[in-house]
Amino acid sequence: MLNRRKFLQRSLIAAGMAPFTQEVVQEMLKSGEALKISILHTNDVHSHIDPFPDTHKRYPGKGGVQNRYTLIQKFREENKNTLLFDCGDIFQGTPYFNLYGGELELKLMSKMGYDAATMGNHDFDNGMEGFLAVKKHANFPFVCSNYDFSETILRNQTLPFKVFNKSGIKIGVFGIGIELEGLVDKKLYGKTVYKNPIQTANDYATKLRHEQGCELVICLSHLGYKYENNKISDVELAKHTSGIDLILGGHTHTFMEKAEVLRNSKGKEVLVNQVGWAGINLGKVDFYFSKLSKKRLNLSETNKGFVEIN
Amino acid sequence: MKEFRYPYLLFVLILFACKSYVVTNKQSQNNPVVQTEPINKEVTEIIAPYKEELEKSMNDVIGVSERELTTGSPEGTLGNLICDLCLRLGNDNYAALHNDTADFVLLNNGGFRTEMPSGEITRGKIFEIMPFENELVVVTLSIEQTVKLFEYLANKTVKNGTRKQGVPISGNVMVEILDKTPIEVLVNGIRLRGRPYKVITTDYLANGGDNMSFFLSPIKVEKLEMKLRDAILWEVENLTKQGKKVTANLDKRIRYAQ
Repeated sequence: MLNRRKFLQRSLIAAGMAPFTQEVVQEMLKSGEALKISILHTNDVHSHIDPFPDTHKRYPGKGGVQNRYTLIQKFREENKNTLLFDCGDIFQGTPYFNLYGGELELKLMSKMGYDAATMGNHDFDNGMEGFLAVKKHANFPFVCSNYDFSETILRNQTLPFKVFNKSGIKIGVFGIGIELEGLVDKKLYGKTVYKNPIQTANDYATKLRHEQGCELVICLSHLGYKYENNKISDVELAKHTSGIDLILGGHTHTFMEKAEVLRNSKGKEVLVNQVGWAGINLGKVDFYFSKLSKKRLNLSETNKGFVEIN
Repeated sequence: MKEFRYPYLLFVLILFACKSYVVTNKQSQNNPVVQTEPINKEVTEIIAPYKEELEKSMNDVIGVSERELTTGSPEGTLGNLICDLCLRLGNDNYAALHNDTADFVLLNNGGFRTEMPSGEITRGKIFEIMPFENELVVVTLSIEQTVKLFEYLANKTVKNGTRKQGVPISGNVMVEILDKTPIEVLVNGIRLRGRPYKVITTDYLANGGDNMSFFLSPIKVEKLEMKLRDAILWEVENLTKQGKKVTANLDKRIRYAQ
């Protein structure tokens, strides 16, 4: 049972007069009043199976599937409610891809326990035939929401969205790819139809939140972090959509220390994160959930909790 | 103390009665992937057969680079090296296959995926630099599209650019840029004239890759029956046979007006 000091503290939080502190949340996790969902992610690994050599100028000894596997296992042991995603460009960048067409990359991602991935432009490098030929080595789904593959051989080979359930919390995931025209040789993507990222993202965010009852909505994106012109990017997507909690990105090989907090079209918080390339870093974003009623607790829409993006 | 019991219970009820989950807090920290223990045997076993076969062919040292060569803007040593070798080797094939000569080479920095390090060069390193299966082609462009090509180049070229900025071109071209506009273009020392130009590039770019839309209305496209990567491999191996090292310089082929 709560002692009086704690009770008073909770009451203040309930009245919106005090923030959730790290201390309070840790207590609530222990007592089962709160749950933590950990999101791990990579992007643009580009067939980097081995770590960079120790003599490498910029990234000596960094990366490598073996090291990534160990780190992922460590995080899974810390929190069983962990999901692992990749944001595309799994292929191309080392001779492993040139020799084996992506087979080893997908076998290893399956072993590491990836829950889903979206397709990047380089995942088309051996054509849709080449992708399909090695896809059987992936035991996880590819989530692509704005590539319409219905007139291609990838018809029914990808999912428009996927809902995960971790200890009762529903996590909805959808995927937004980059415009292929002008970036990928047309013969490689054929009759793939590109759908508007913002509209598609809004549609799936609404669907996942309201029809599927998801408490957390995540977009796996390969649009790129941001551009100097107004080309669609993760930052633009974040600003012009609503209902998304987290946009995991790729394509621009942007190294971020931690997720960035932005405001969506309704003024609510949305996080954007990306971890460079080549498997040098592993991204991590934790969401703490409590069973407290938002309405009764008078938590504002942007919540009174800490956003400790540290 | 007893009088506090009822409101206490009421609060607890309000706090925990509702079952819908809400996010109260968020945390984020990206983590470096570094050498760690333990090594997972199963992962090693999955990789081993692939790695063994690959290393056999890729670890061969095929040449030596005098210094590190990198992409850059307005020009980079790596782009200069590759464009120059493509002009020579491409034109050899063009003469043999079509009895013709191309005017210059245009490639893209985004296609070169890593730098050429100083020292020993393995076959695998060339695969890392040029992992794509791109083929060399000759695109014949009208003078109008050729002008657009140089406008594209000038627009994408910045003084001290990042890896993907700048557009690599062969050394028989000189472009002077002012305010993102080409103010002087010389091909083999002569200003552009009202004739078609023959440009060696890759099939990827010829199909409009990297937004090179000027390639999309060509007079004709001819294949050179040569992959870009094979051209680089051939050049490095050939230099080694001659006892030479790989090298390239910045020669102001693309420059900003003073």
